[in-house]
Amino acid sequence: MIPVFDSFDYFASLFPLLLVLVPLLLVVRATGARVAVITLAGLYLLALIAPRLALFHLVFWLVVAALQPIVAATGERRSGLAVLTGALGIALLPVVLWKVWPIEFVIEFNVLTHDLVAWPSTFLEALDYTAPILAPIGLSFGAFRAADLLVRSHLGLIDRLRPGRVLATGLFPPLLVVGPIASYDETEKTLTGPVPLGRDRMLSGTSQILNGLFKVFVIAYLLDWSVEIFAFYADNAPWRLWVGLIAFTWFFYVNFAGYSDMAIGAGTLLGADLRPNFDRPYQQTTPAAFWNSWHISLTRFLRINVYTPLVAGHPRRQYAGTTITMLLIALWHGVSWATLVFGLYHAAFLVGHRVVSQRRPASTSPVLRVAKSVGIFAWFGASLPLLHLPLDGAVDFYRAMLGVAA
Amino acid sequence: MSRVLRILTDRYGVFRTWPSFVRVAAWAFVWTLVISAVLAPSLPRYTDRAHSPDNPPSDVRYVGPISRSDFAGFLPPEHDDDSFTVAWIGGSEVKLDAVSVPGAVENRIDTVGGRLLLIDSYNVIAPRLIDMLRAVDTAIDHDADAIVMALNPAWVRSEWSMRDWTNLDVANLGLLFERPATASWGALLTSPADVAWRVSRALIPLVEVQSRLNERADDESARLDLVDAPDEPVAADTGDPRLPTEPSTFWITQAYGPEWIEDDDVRVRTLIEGIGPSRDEARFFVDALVDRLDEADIPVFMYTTIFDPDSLADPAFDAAARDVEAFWAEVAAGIDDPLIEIEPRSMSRDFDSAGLFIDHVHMHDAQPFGEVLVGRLCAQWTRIDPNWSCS
Repeated sequence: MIPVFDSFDYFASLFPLLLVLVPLLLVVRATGARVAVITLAGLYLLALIAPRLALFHLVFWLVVAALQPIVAATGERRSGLAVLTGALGIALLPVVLWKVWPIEFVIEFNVLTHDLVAWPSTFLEALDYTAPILAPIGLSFGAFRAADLLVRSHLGLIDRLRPGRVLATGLFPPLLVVGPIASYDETEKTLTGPVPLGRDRMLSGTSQILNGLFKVFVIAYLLDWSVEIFAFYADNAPWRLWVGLIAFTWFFYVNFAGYSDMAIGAGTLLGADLRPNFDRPYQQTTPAAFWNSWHISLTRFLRINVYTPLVAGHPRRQYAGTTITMLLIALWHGVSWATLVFGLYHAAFLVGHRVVSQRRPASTSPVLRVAKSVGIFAWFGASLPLLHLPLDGAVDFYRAMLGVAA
Repeated sequence: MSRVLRILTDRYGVFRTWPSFVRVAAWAFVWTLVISAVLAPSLPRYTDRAHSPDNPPSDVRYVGPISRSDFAGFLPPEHDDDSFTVAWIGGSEVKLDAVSVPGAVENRIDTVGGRLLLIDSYNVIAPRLIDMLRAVDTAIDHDADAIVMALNPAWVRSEWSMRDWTNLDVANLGLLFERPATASWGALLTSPADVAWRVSRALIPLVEVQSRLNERADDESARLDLVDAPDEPVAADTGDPRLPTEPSTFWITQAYGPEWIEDDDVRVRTLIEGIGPSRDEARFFVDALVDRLDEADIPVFMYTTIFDPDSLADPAFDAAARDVEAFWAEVAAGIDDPLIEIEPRSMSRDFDSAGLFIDHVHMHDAQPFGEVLVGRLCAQWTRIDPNWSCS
């Protein structure tokens, strides 16, 4: 297991910091000063995890800040697509390297960034030695946010930005650790000037944070034992694996959705208009509706930037577009045979459901609707071992669930 | 979940209006106070840190903390004026499994100056200097009559003296701001979360005892656990020897290669030799520690963790050990308080300590060393006050 980090440690510092940041952003009017406050807050919170992590994100977003004006300026030129492709390659390179060679990348990420941090100061060197060994936290979300920014700049939806504006967008504190993959327009308003903290915004942000805390510390806490089923499936009876997998399917949702809620709530208080990242996914009745309500920011990003360009004007490509999109969603979680199968599994269901539903109208029976939701839950839960085990381990897990000896 | 909330919002107006927000906040606060008043007093007054019973048995009291993130820090019992209370501060070299250095001393001394000897062990595995500073502060606040401290050889290296600093205890927080010399460090090392927990700890008894509550909550929630898993926690493992997850292990692996980490002897030796170039930060915190001890105005005996003589026979290890001893000798030379005594030299060089160790610094039999310490401690105490003779 690659070293992980408890996301709540980050939010435990972000929330009290909001007591300073929110009033500060209400009184600071100059864009430059607002950009500086947001950037420094983001770097500070990352440095609390590890100085090397703050340095990594700073360098990453500086590179994006250098690329953005070039991409925006060349959007309408013949060379624009090549420039965009190159810029996307640069922005996505770290996350691709990480997903393909996770062990090597994590080692080099820690060693190289530590050497850079240690270079100017023995204090920083000693301090960074004590920080946890980390995967590049937030990189998956950051890389896709950067890609989104570059694509929109290429399309002319975003003008050339000053480097500080890009840095503040990238280092917007609520989004740094667990996303969501927010677009530039979702945070732009708070960069440019004070956003009044009226009653609705205050209550919306606060209740969203409390909602997230309830999901993580009440529901997910009571279900977190279920994570162990992937480590100890060989020692457990089939019925325990079935119950454990059901519990884990809920845990996986409430834990992720809870942290998304906290991030969105904090962003709301800071003046951003972050869109929801989950919308009752287990109550949906079709695979397509499920994916439109699960990790919505990732699905939306890939729909806009991959599926639509592939399929627009070419209806026959819709199944290929669906398959490619689902494979990218799967590979976003890690590059392995198991995640590849995860992507193909969901693509097959999406395509199959679309074929069938085109031939038969959907039933409106309430009983059938409940049954479909249960089916969606089971269909998604059944695929989760593929995200948490290597392919042979996942096969063994399924065999153990069925009581078939390996 | 969101549907339930929507129903609640539609039906009861929760969070829809300012009065509803204030009402919810007020009730949450009231319930927190009520639960605090009921639960907090039922929790232990001093830390009952899980530990293996001493062998041979002793009456040493292990006063925590439960973990480095225990908000309560060390929780010794109230001071008893009829006893001579010694705060014994140190890490695994002081107490590991059933082997206890303070236990060996406690078994040899009944009274000091006619008062019953009590030893409170402020024990943390792999302690940092900041933990020791907190231990010293707590011991002094609880009117300890004397302090004994084992000086961890790793503390002479800046990177090890500060290890796991990201866990900076909420319990340690105020220490850095109480002294001008360390205030700037406080600003650098203190997170907003530390401050928030510290403030809420002062206001809400439940937060003060959160480590103990967490244990109870974990026990209760474990009833839901349907997965058969080994009793022993499984160490986090990447499955690749190049990538250990624990920071000090990771950096040693990068410096010396994965094969070094498989040998415990080499690992301890590497901790002593260090991997970073600087001692400035280590010395800074050692000086802060000595300053605090200086203010205490009670007898303090500090000794360098003793080394296995077999290890000292290795010239490379002996050189590393002498380097450590030189560091503490330099610290000792700067102290002019007659109440503070530092023994920078590994005392295992001065008595027959062969065969007592399981590795470079950990013993399987602390009794002979306890005998040596009894002589040193009683000599110091009677020198400071002739009435403080041991019996």
